Amino acid sequence: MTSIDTIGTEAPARHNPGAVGAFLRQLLKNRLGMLGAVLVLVVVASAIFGPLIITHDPIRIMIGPRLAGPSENFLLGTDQLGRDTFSRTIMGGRIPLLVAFASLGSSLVVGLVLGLIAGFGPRWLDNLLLLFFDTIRSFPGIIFALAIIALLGPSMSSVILVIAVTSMPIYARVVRTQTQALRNSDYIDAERSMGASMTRILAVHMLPNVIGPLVILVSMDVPAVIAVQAGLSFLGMGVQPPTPDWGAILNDGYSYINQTPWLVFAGGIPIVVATLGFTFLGEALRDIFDPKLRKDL
Amino acid sequence: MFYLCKRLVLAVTIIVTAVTLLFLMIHAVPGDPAAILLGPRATPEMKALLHQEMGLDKPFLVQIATFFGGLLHGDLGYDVFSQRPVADIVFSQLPYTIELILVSIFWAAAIAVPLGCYSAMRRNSLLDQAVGVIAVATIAIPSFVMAVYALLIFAVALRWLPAIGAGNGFRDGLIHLILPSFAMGIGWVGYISRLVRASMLETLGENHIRMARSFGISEWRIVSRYALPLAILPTVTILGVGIAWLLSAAVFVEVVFARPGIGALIVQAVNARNYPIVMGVVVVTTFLIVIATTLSDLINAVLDPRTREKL
Amino acid sequence: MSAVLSVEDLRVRFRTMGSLKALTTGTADPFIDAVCGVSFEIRKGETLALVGESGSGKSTIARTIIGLQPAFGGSVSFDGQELIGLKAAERKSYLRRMTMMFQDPVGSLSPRMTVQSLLTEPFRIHGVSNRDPGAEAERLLRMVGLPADFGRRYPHQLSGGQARRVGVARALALNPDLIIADEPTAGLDVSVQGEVLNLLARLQDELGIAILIITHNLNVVRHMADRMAIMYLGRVVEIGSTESIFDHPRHPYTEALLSANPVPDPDAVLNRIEIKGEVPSMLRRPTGCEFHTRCQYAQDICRRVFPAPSANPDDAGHSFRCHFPLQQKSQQAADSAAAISR
Repeated sequence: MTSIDTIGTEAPARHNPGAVGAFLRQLLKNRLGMLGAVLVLVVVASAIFGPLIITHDPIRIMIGPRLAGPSENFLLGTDQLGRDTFSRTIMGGRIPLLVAFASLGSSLVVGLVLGLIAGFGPRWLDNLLLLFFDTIRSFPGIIFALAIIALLGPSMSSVILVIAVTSMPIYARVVRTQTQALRNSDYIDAERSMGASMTRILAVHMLPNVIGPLVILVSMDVPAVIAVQAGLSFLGMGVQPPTPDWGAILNDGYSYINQTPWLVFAGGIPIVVATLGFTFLGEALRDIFDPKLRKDL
Repeated sequence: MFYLCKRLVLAVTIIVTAVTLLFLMIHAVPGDPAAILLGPRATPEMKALLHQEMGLDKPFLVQIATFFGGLLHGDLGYDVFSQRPVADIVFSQLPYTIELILVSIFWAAAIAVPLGCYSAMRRNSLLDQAVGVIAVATIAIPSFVMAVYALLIFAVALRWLPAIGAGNGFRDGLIHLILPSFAMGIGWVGYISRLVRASMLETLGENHIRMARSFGISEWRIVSRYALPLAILPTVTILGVGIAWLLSAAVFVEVVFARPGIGALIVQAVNARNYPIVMGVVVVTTFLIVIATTLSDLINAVLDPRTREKL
Repeated sequence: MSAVLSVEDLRVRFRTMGSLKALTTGTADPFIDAVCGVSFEIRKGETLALVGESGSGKSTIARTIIGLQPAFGGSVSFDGQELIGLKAAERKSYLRRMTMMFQDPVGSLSPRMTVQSLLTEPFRIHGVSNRDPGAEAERLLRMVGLPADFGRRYPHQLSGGQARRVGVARALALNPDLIIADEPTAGLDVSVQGEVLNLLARLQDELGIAILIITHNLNVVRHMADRMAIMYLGRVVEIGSTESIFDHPRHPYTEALLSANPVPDPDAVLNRIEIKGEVPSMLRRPTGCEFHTRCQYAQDICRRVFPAPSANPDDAGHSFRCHFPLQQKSQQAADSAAAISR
């Protein structure tokens, strides 16, 4: 089994000036990857430039009739409070992207640090951290998230915290195995034999060799995080009204599914576009940079 | 044997650590569960009474010891609203969830295994490539989106299938399972077929299979008789990890289709801030996951002795 | 001449299993002695070779000297200062004067650093900042005969021989008194091996560095070493000047080892003394003289008593641990030794 242990140990990244160009050329060859890149671009651009695109104030109620279908004025119709669905959908991508960025970013940093400690530190600390990772991994996903949110109260920061905590153990474990593989390598021994300090070895010699595969792994988790965030919003446990958010819009659509299908489309399709886009792009990134990377840890 | 003991000790340690962590979290959170439970108009006397009832007035160590003591004989405490044991409530809902999970996985596997075999045999054929893309796509689409769309199309627009509830009787129950299990299983079709394909390709490359081929045994027979049993075992162990995903999906599917089950139970409990139930559901599902991962690790260890060293 | 490095009764133990596993499987002693009471010294400007089969503990000795592996007992003193038990910070100043080259020439270079950063890494580690890194790298590259533009290359762009030269250059960066070279020729083509050895020999002459060579390649020993120590199962069984040992091995294991050495001479008469059996496991050390399980001269006493070191009457620096040292050259050994020196 090519396991995670072998990631990145063989091919050092080539730091040549043409690297970006070569990457783009390879991405162009990968049709699904291109599709993913385009979808991601659409999602990210509409979140960033949302205020320029929207036609109405997304949180103002009774701007139009309740639960109306698409019209010239309301491109995707209106919701049960008479708000403009199109504007809400455009602005609704900001929260998922923000949550994904914040939670995965913090999870990457914490996972990296804990993984390096576990992989390089003393045996007992390694065992303790492993137990901690394994325990968190045996908490039941959404059910655990719901329990934490029940304690902290539903909000965006609770969602970020929950996602960061539950996705961290996998990163930490990958970093740990990688660190352990490197720790006995000749070049780390060579550095130690020259008297290099622990911090120097970790920061200068370990980190650059560990971070590449980790970033790919994290980027492949973006769609899952968007799904969890949208799911929690769908259950009313995420960001609170009236902030526009895809999961919340989908929930409105679900509540009024007998009256109008438009809200379901307005909330659901962006979620599908975003998750598919990030999935295809993530797979392409993995195939290009690290074909051996497998997430079966 | 040594591995078995070690793995079981680890499983128990994880459960103990998990429950302790959960307890710590409840205590670390600012705010008084009893006060939240009773709402803003509660009098201090009511809070004190509830504290006593929930055992919150005792020291932390006593609380956790009491909880572990109860856990040993299946006691998860009492629901403060209905005064029923939490364990009874959770275990009355669990069968619905298990049923949903089993049906979903079963139909997904029934489609995915032949599909994976075919993909492995006709590698890079049109179907293989299509399955590959669709697999990635269906894995990526969240189950609750799938569920809402299934509901919209088949129940609301076409009115072919019932929208909500679990139904009465066997036949009605089965019909009520179609949409929920579709929403839950569709992602697994892609996932399992990819796994079967990968392990099938690996198995087909092995020497004894090539040997069988050199005897002129037909390709289908080789795949079904010789390769499949070997190729499918690693797939079985994936379910150990998959149980966490399935439980998460079940939460959404149960809510969308208004089915009973522990997913629906915890959502209600969270909305009502009913901590004993929330804790009960988390503990029971954590148990399930630890058991499933332990089993799959043990199966893996039997299949592939190299994994034993990894612990 | 004074000793740069002196190793006294050095012991290194490895744990083979967790204490829990040892307890459950009824293993009384979960340790192995990888290095078992080894003593030797290296004088200024001298080359000592540690010779032995793989698993004989020679690399472990090197790692213990440099501080990568904790010692279980004994003493390692560098220029009169005891190193065992020093804290990392205290040890650091000695790591300027004592450097080590590792087996894998490419693998011992940090993969994401340029040759220039690799060469100047010792300066950064030891806070020597008053030198221009570019000029220093160039000086070091010139010293080992590599063009200056190699400074911009990455390790994966180097051949094994080039990477080894970079390793030599880096080992020399801070003008050490002692270089420990673990299999300096491993993984290199024979022609490149010669170049690297000549380079080391030349630099040693110019700079007066002492070298500890760890190798199983007797041709390297013959080429480089002033003295040699033969190791078997974590012990030194024979030590002395290279000439004296090649000339007249006293320990039967040395004799067998020398006779098994491939000689680069087509006319050489191949008279190998076969060693019977496998190297015993360190987990189950034989009693008495550890070589008795494979020794053709073994007597009863060899199975019971571990031999004390005895010195060669003709050469005080040549000592060995054997109850029945070879009195005169056996014919085979004479042949092969003659063949080698030809």
